[in-house]
Amino acid sequence: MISIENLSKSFRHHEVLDNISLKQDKAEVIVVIGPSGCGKTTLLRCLNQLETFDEGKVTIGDITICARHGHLSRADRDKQLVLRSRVGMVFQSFNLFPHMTAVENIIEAPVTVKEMSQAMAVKRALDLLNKVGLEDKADFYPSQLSGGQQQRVAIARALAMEPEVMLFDEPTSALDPELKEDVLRVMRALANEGMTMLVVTHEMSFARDMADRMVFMEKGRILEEGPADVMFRSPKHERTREFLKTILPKKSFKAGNGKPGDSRQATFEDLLSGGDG
Amino acid sequence: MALSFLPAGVSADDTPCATIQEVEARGVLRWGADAEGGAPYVFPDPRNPKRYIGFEVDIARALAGRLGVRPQMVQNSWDGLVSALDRGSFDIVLNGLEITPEHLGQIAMSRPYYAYTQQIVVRKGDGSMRRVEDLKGLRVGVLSASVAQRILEGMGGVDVRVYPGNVETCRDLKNKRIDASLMDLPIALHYAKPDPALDFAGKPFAVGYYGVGVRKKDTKLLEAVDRAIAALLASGELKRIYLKWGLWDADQERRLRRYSPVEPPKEGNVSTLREWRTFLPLLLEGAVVTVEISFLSMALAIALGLALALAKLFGVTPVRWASTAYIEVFRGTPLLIQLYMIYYGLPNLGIRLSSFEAAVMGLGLNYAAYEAENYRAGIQAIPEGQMEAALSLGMTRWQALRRVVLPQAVRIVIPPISNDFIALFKDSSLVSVITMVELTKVYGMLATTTYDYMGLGLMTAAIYLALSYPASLAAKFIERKLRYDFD
Repeated sequence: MISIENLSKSFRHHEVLDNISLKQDKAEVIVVIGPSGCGKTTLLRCLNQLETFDEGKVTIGDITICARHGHLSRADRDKQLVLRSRVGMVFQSFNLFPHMTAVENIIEAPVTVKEMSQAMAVKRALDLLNKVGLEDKADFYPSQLSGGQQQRVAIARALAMEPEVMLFDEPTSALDPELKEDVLRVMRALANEGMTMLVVTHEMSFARDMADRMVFMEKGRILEEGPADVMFRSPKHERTREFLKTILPKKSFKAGNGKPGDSRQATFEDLLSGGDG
Repeated sequence: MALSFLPAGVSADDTPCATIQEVEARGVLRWGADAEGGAPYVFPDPRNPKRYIGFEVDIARALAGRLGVRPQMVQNSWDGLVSALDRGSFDIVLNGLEITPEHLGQIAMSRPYYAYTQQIVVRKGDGSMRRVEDLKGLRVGVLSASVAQRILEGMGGVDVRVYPGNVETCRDLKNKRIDASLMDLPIALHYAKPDPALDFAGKPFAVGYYGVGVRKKDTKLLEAVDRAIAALLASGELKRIYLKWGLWDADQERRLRRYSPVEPPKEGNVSTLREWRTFLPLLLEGAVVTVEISFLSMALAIALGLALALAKLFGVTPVRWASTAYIEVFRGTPLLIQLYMIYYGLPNLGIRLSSFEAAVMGLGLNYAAYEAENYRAGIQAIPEGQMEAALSLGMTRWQALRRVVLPQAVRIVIPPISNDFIALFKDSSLVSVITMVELTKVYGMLATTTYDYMGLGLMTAAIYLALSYPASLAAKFIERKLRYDFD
């Protein structure tokens, strides 16, 4: 589904992505983690061409875009538009269009890009709002919605283009803890439906439950990849272990009191300490 | 209270001999005149532009000599000479000021120093006009606030075009924007006679007299000026001056000697406020022109400004540079010069716009530069994430701009653009320099004939306010309508 080959990108001599290669199957869920500045967001932005890359090859479905010395061929540039419409992107800061209601946000791209009829687009938008649990907020403006509600509308907006792949760039980082769960629930449902998802997140509960594979990035490289439980339990690299320690909650008093899995903190403590995962 | 502001011609200081004593003590006679386009009366010497020459410069020197003092010219726009004299900016006016009941209502005037006539000027070979009646139905250029303007307006049926100067009148006559011009004979002799493209039509007519203007209270000064003029006429000095400037004609001496004084009008100042039924409709006619020009030029500015902003933000390098250059040039140079160049300069390149078209173009092109900067600021205020979100949905850059970025930017730019609209509305008064008679020009013309600057000013200001205030209310309404950030 997704194939990244020898992808490199630098901003003014600073190597942001250094020869990255990654393959993702259809319906696979990959979670990317890594310290800030490791290039994980840039990787996502290169995939849907918000960022151009210097060298390498990106294939999504049947579309391939190649760059050499920072240049794309004219044919590849024309492909960018098609590629974007097949890749859905969810941003950390939602980026809903503030001058449109929830339903208007969702129908915008189908109507202008796919030239879908207004009536058809609205009908499908309401289905999508129903799916993300916001059927009663169709006519609300983004400023009238909570952060969690806005992010769910943003997911619905991306889904309206019927993408083959969904990219999530820290979708819950800007949200209060009590609002995160609503968004994660939608993402879990999506993964269960077989959506191909590439997710940059610090939500280890999501990674544990949903990720088919985890990727740890540092300094523009993929340092380690593998099944989530393996990486939690026995990371190959010391850097991975250190990083996981920093993003996982410190020792909780309740840890170990309940059965594994009924408390997120407890489970991670267990995973890290190599307990009964 | 308001009455004390009216230029009454009688100030609190009513000592009859104050000014002549001042002049003698100073040793200098300050005379007011307008040297801009002032040939052959008073104008900068082309060979030494720091020096003024002209037949009135010679007369002023002779006159001051008779009073035993030195002359000193004070530059003042011609329209405002009478009011400036009243205000005390100089001692006398000596600048082709006609002896008319209107002027005598405001100031005192000496015996005449020159008898002038009106001359019809046409393009060479155009022999269809011989008498003033032949001008009916034609476009005729006149100098602003001149006797020629009054004659033609009094006659009716003539499309009178009012010019700020004589150079522009002759130029537009040659450019065929007007069919004829009516001007004082000295002006015609100086500007039109030497021009091979222009010709005099018919005989001069409508004798009138230039006199020296003095404040009404300065009776002693007036007597002294009268005596001096009589002496200059008797000694032949006046004749020598007029011969030197080619202004002498056989009837001149007879006319100056046989002059019988014009009776000053009985009643003093006109109160235009009390007679608003007469004056308000005239002002409103001017207001219609102001509104038409403002709306059309703002529409042009808004459309062109958007194109410039998009070119500057998203264009390829040469387009970006061109847009930046346009904005800097039009913002960085005076609107007045742009208007002059569009109206009087472009015909040299074969582009001949009517004064209305030139007014809309000039204001529109100028304000487009400001609107471009408003748009640019508005577009840049929209977070980058908006464009990215739209692109990530597969929209093209243009679709993203049109559907996502611009609708948000519009709301941001409404306050500064409505500000500019109100500024443009007032700047539109500048187009009077290219013969458009709009609200401020009507005010100026009425004020220089009635001298009721205050009453007419209040009416004119009220009209401007009545037009601009609803505009700002409408802007607020639209801004509220477009609101989407509900708390």
